[in-house]
This record gives sequence, C-alpha cells and structure tokens, in this order.
Amino acid sequence: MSFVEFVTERGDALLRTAALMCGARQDAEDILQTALEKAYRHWGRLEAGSDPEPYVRRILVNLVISRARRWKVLREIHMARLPETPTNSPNHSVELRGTLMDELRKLGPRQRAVLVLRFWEDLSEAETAEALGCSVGTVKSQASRGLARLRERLDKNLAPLGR
Amino acid sequence: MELESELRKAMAEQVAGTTATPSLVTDVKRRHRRRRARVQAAAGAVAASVAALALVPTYQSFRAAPAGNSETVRPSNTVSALRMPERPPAPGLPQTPSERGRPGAGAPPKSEGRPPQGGGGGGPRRPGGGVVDGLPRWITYLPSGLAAAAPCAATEAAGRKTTTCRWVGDGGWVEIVLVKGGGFTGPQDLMKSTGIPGHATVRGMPALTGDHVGSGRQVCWLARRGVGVTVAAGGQAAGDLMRIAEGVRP
Repeated sequence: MSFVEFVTERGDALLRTAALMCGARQDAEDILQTALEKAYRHWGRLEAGSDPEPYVRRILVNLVISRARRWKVLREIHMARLPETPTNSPNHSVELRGTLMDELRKLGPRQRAVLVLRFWEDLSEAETAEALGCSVGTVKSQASRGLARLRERLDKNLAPLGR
Repeated sequence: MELESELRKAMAEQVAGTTATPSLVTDVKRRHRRRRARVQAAAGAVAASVAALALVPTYQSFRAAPAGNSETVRPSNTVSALRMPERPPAPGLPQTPSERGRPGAGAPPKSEGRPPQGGGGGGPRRPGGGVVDGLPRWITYLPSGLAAAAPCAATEAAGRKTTTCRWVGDGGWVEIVLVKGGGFTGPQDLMKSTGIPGHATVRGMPALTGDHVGSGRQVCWLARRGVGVTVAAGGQAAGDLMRIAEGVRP
C-alpha cells in the first residue's frame, strides 16, 4: 500500500484517534501530520504487504504522550469552548457523555491513550500494549484505574444534579 | 449504566464530524520537505563550522613568516626572557641574506650608525653571561667567551638557501646553520650524525639531537615549514647547546 493510499483510506480514523487522545482538534491535526511525516520518512522500510497502521498508530501514541510530558500539559486541559455551568438537562444521556468526555480529557495522557485504544479503536489488550510499548499488565491496570477514576468523577459531578 | 459502552458512545459523538482535510497528504509531504531542508542546512552549518575550526590552525601553521619581522610569527607563549626588542645591527657580522634584502624588513634599528657599545666585538653581555649583541637578529643567545670565526656565510644550492655562522673561543665553538627551502619532511632531513639520534623539543617543535661529526653535539629541528635549523656546539659551549637552540628564532 502506498503512503497516499494509506492516508486517504485511514486518515479520518487516525485523526479521530488523535483528537480523542489530544482533546483538541487543532492539536490532533498537528500531531497527526507529525506522525505521518515520521512514517513517510521510513515508508520504504515497511515490509511489502504488511499493515502500516500499527506502526503509524504507535508513532501517534508516542508523540501524544511525549508532547504531554514535554509541555507539562498533564494539568492543562484543552477545551474547544469555555466550560459551562452545569444545569439540569432534560436529556440525561447527552449530559452524561459530555461529562464523560470532559473527565476523559482530565486523565493523564497514558491513561487516556489506553482508554481510547481499548474502547474507541477496539484494540485487544495485547495490541494496546504493543502500541504503547508496555506490558499487557500495565494496560490492564491503566484501563482499570482510568475507568475507576472516570466512574468516581462521574458520580461526584452528577450527584449535585440528583442523578 | 455500563461505563464502557457509554464511553464508546461519548467518543463516537465527540468525533462524529471529524474528518481529515483533503490536503493531508500534501501537507505531510510539504512538512517532510521542510524538515529535510532544515536538516541539510543544519548539517551544512555544522560542516562549515568544523571546516573553519580545522582550517584556522592549519592556515596558521602554513602561513609564511612576514619578512624581516620574526616577532610576528613567534608564538606569544614562547617569548624568551632573553629576547630583546631593539638591538643594534651586529658589528662585523652580517644579517642573514634574507633579512637584508627583504622588502618588508621594516625600519632600521634606532642605534644603527652608532658605534658598537662595549667595544671589541664582545658587545654588552646579559646577566646570564651570554653574548646577545653583535649577532644576527635571529640568534638571541650565545655563551660568553666566543667570537665570530668569520661573517655568516650564505650559499644557495638546489633551491635551498643555507646560512652558516660559526663562533670559536676559549669556551669552545658554536655553529648555527639555517636552511631555507622546501622539501623538508622533518628534522631527520637536517641530521648529519651517524649515531642513533635522541628526541627533544626546541620551542615546542620536535627536534633530534646527536653527536656532531668530529666532536661536539648538535640539535636539528624545523622552526616552521621550509625553515630548518642545526645548532652544533663543542667544548664548554656544548653544555649550553639547548639554550643556544632555544635562542635561535629564524
């Protein structure tokens, strides 16, 4: 598969993954371009017939985590819009999902990447571990802690609304 | 409520309208070209810096000595305490031919035309006992008790100019041979001793020492590219061989 074919076919999916891991669309586009440029540099070294997506995804994940560490943005939350004051919403599920995404952005980059890869990309624990360059045990623990934190924060945030 | 399924739905909602721009491939390739140009520019700058750092000492080592001013080519860290900034011309001893005829020889010494001080060819003596006046400019030290055997003789053969100066006296004898020309590969080209030479340094330059043909000791070195010096001494002066050699600054 040529580089152009790959980007045309998988560009949207990769951008969505990047957006979920970064939390902001602009950052996601920049990081995706950087990741694709790195992959393009070594595209000729990929084995013919092999799927380049795990390679590109790993570059992407590493870039997101490195960038978060470098910029110390672990506590910095990229918001597409100003945070709004919670109000009682007639639609419980919509409010729940919005809160979920807000809380997902507040997680650490590695934990967020585990959750995105496991529940958005639907990767197995082994594939997630390979993409992150860590052990399956680490993926399990990170996913478990991430979900526990989300659940805890959801309970705290939704309690005042009487949910 | 199952958190995992809600999380999946939330993610899907979040990125539902997210699509890559049509120019993504073009943007990536443009970024790649920019990066490659940056890397090449950085590599070029590094190469230029390395070349400059390597060329400066090389240029300085190859730079020819300015005519008539041996002080300008002398490294500052090798200035001897015996060096005198102003000296009258040697009475009875000629300058080296190259110094006399060179266009850049500079202003004549202020004391030129004055009668030699101290009388009788000996000239004023340094506290260390060496004769410092009455010598070619490029010789700054000789042991006391020596007098010029003859004016320095200059000959030219095979593209090399050889200036030979000799002093004799109660304190032994000293002979200094200055050879200017190309083709020297090292001090071994100047060595005429048959024995196994020893290694030494003269003003930081590698030198060879050995027995002089006949009697005495000698030391040879290349003062700079194309300039070889041989200093030989016999009798008591042989003990000052290295000091005499250190005082030769062609």
